[in-house]
Amino acid sequence: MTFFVKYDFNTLCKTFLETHLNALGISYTLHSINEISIEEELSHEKQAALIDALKKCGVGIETDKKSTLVDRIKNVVDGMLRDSSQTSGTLSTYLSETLHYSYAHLSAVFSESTYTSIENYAILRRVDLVKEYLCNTDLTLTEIAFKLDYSSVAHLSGQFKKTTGLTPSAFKRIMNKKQTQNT
Amino acid sequence: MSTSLLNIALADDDDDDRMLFSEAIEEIAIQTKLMLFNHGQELMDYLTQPKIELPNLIFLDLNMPIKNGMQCLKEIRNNPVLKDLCVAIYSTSSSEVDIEETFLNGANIYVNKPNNYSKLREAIEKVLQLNWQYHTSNLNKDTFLFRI
Amino acid sequence: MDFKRVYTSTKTYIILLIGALALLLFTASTAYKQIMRMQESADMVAQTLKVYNAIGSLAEHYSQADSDEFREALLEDAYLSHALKNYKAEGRLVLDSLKILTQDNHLQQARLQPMEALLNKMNNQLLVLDTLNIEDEAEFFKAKEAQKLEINKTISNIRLLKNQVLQNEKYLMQERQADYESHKFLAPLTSLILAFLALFICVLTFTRIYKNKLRIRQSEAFLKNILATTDNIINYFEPIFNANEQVEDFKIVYANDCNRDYLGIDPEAIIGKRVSEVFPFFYVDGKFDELLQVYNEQTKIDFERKVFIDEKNMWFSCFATPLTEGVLLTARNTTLEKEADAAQEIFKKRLESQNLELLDSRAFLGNIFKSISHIVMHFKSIRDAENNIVDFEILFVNERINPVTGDLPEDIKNKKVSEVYPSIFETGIFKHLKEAIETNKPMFYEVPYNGNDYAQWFSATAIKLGDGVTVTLRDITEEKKKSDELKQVNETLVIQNSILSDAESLAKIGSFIWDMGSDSSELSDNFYAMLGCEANEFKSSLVRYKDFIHPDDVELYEKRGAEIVSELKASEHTYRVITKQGEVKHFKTNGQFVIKNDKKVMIGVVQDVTESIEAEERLVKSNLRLKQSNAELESFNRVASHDLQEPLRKIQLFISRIEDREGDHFSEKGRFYFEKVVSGVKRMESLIKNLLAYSRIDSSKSNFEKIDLNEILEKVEDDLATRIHDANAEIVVDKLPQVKAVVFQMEQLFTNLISNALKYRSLTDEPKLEIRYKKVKASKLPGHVLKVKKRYHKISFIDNGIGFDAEHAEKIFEVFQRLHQKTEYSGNGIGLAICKKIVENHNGFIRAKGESGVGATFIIYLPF
Repeated sequence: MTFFVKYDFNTLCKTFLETHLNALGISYTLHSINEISIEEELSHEKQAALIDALKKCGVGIETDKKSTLVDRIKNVVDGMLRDSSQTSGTLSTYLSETLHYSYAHLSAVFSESTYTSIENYAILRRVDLVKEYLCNTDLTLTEIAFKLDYSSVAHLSGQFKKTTGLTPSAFKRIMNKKQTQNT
Repeated sequence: MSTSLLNIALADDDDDDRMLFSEAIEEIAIQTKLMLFNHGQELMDYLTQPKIELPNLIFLDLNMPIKNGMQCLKEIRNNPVLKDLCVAIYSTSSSEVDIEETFLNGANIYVNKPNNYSKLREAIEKVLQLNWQYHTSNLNKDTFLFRI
Repeated sequence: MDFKRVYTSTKTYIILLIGALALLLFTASTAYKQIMRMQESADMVAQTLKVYNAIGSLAEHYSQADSDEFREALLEDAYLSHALKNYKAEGRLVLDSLKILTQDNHLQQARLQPMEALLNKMNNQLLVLDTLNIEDEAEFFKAKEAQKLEINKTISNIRLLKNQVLQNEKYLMQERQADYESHKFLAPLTSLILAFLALFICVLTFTRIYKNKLRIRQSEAFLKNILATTDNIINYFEPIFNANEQVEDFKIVYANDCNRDYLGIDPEAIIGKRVSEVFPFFYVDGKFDELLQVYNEQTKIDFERKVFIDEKNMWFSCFATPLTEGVLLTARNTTLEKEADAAQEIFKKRLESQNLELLDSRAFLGNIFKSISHIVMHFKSIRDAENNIVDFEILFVNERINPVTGDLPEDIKNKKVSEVYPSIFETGIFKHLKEAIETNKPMFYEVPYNGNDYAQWFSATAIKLGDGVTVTLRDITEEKKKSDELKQVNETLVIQNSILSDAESLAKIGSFIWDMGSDSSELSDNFYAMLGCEANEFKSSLVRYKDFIHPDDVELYEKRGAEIVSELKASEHTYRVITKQGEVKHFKTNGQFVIKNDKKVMIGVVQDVTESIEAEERLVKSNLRLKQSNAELESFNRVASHDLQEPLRKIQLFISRIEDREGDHFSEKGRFYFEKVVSGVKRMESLIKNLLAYSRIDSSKSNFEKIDLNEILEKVEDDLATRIHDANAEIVVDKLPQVKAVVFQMEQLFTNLISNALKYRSLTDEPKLEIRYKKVKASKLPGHVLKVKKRYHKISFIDNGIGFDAEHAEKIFEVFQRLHQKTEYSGNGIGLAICKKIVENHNGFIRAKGESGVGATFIIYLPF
């Protein structure tokens, strides 16, 4: 018997972190799946135990400040894309409000370490979500466009084509063929 | 990772193409180390050696003597060690049939060899960026499919 | 509803009786109740009287206070008057008794309330009067008088109240008296009426029951009379149950005297006995079960029963009906009827057989004459004075004469032959007949008859019978005709045979008949010729024929031969032979089995297929060559365009490289030449790309799938978005259909047609392209085209561009046909050729319409 497993990455990570933090009896606030505020002064043993427990599952504590910031930017972008209803305003203002840095600074840090702009990343990420919906759901392009806050299907198709070089339907056709080929 | 070099391999039987590719990649901001192979067999021989540093990204010409790009692609995808490598097809052919076939065989990116140097540079840059994003962000590698 | 049944049935009477009883009970209880109520009324009257009295005594009591003597007595008594005390107690006593009496009357009680108060008041006043003690007489008297006045006032009040109470009681009294009166009258009356009613019903019921009983007695007597006088055996059986509550036998409950008369059984003796004991013969052949059925299902049956008693067979016709708790069996003695029937039957049968014999022998002859196809006639001689036969009289003729001459046998009977058939004298028939009689020898002759529209021939036999002759005529017209036909057929056969042999030689076909049993065969002349031999040059057989077969094919031929013999089924097969002259030929043979002269033979044809086989081989070879060259062409195409593209791309790459690096250092001329190089290379690129596209359109490798043309158009518009935008073009599109097509090719088609419209746009007007869709019937399609479907999609691309001359409408679809100077419009003459190839690859057609300077319309028809 073969099972095909589908993940909701966000929930998975959240549950994972909550389980471990609760197990160690640490009081915390989960800002995102990549950012945790610990509300108490952690003893060395406890800190070591937490790092150890997470490491066992391939999860590391980010120490580099720059890459942490980049990851935080990515997380904010991801969060914004996944749930557009909670955020308002442009990406840039939202980012600087959330991370308390000027957008210029964030933009510079991001480009420096990823060779691409935040905007490009956001587009890539958004298209990746479109891909996910196209492959894993039966949603129509109109529904996907609505879900991901595109102004129109044409906008979605245009961005998809521009980013991936393929039309959404061509992409879906190839992925379907790939799936039938593999099974 | 930003400090380390990005390892890139190119298999192309055309001297000029290899030369222009090297020139173009030099001009790109991302720090890279390029390995050149004259045909598919040479590439596969290298990749299947034990204890080598595997490239982060492979550019494959389709039309090559001895072993063509499609054969290489299939071998890479069927090799447990190599199967997760990011493969970009780098070909003159713009036939939809060719493109679809490479995607079905596991190519991640399909690059039409541009007929203009600056376009070539842009294309390589875009491939590198995409590859970078797919390695550092939570993007779904199963749907890593681009045509440039 | 059966009313008679209702009012005569016992149930009704029982119900009536119960009703009567109930009525009586009801009467008694009502009477009791009435009496009780009467008593109550009487009590009430008595009570009222008591109240009356009490009020009376109350009144009396008061009036005492009124009297002066009483008052004087009060005054005189110096001490607390003893009389006053008594008086007071007395008043209270009276009032209390009154209160008790009026307990059940609230109104009265309420009235008594102030009475009590008044009484108290009066008592007090009396007390005052009693204690009045004033020295001055006059003063005393005055006060006494005043007090008296007070007392009087109170008393009058009391009196007023008393009168009210009295009034009320009086009224109550009247009411109660009236009530009592009515009860006194009603109670006995109701009882009386009800009692009478009950009595009446009882009497009615009784009389009815009595009448019924009388009737039953009458009918019983009647029944008995019938049973006694009937000549039918009438028995009544009741079932006997075994332990399992199943009927195991019947018990005789009643049997009439006829049992004795017919069966010699004493009816008295058998009553109460089992049927199986008394009438054992009755239960044979399943009659018990039938009887059981009669009992269980309340059905009726009748049956016949034969009984052997006193060495005599007796017949009974029995009839069983269900009756209350058993089965009534009536048996009628039908022995005499049966015997009479049997005698009659025997007599009838004998009569019939005799009759039949008679009829048979008569019909036999008639049948013979009717059934035979010959005409049979009997003539009686008519002789003259010299005893010479001069004529015949027709005594008999059968019906066969009718279809020939149209005469009815009845019409011509007893007529003279000379009258009916006067021709017999001329034709010599008369002579034959006469001779037959005179020589007493049968005569045979043939006669023609021309009665109908055609000549009929008869073969006649005349035989002497008595003084007459019997003539039998047989119709031999058909036989005569057949032998004539045979002659003709033979002639035609000869002609056909010669035609056949000519045809055989012309079609290179030989035929054969092969007798498997003797292995001998007949070959047609051309068969011999096909083998290079003279006709009948050798005696043919399978063994001999094998010598001609090509040694390589002998084995196969023998195998087929064996198969044919074993399965008796021939099939087509081809083999090689070597003719007498050593020439190799291909023969194809086929045949079938027929019965000829009671023998199974195979007839078949052999065809010389040498030429067609050689042609086929040539075809296969050329086909192979074609395939090879096609493959070569394809690979050439692919390689050529790919390999051509490669250096071109290289040129472009290095051009861009040169431009990047040296662009600033060009001289003016150098820049100009460089631009020429660039544009030349560009044109070459597009040329190669289009050639490649054109060569790729190949139906055999196409992947046809159901696609939505709207999506295709969307994609193409997307791809061409910049150009559309730059040209500021307006594109109007109908809703397009879904078609079975190749995605890439449809994209290419749309791309080419739209970019064509953009490319050849008018220099003055804003470009506008309409894409219209319509379903059309194949019959509406223009021109002589091969229509594979009944309906087509018609998609028109209508632009307002520069258009073209109508005379070029066909030409523009040809490869490298360009209608414009290349500098003016950047075409390469392949775009529309590609369109045409794509549409035709989809079994469709493309047409162009145009007018120079007005616009062009490209119409594609795709099959449904």
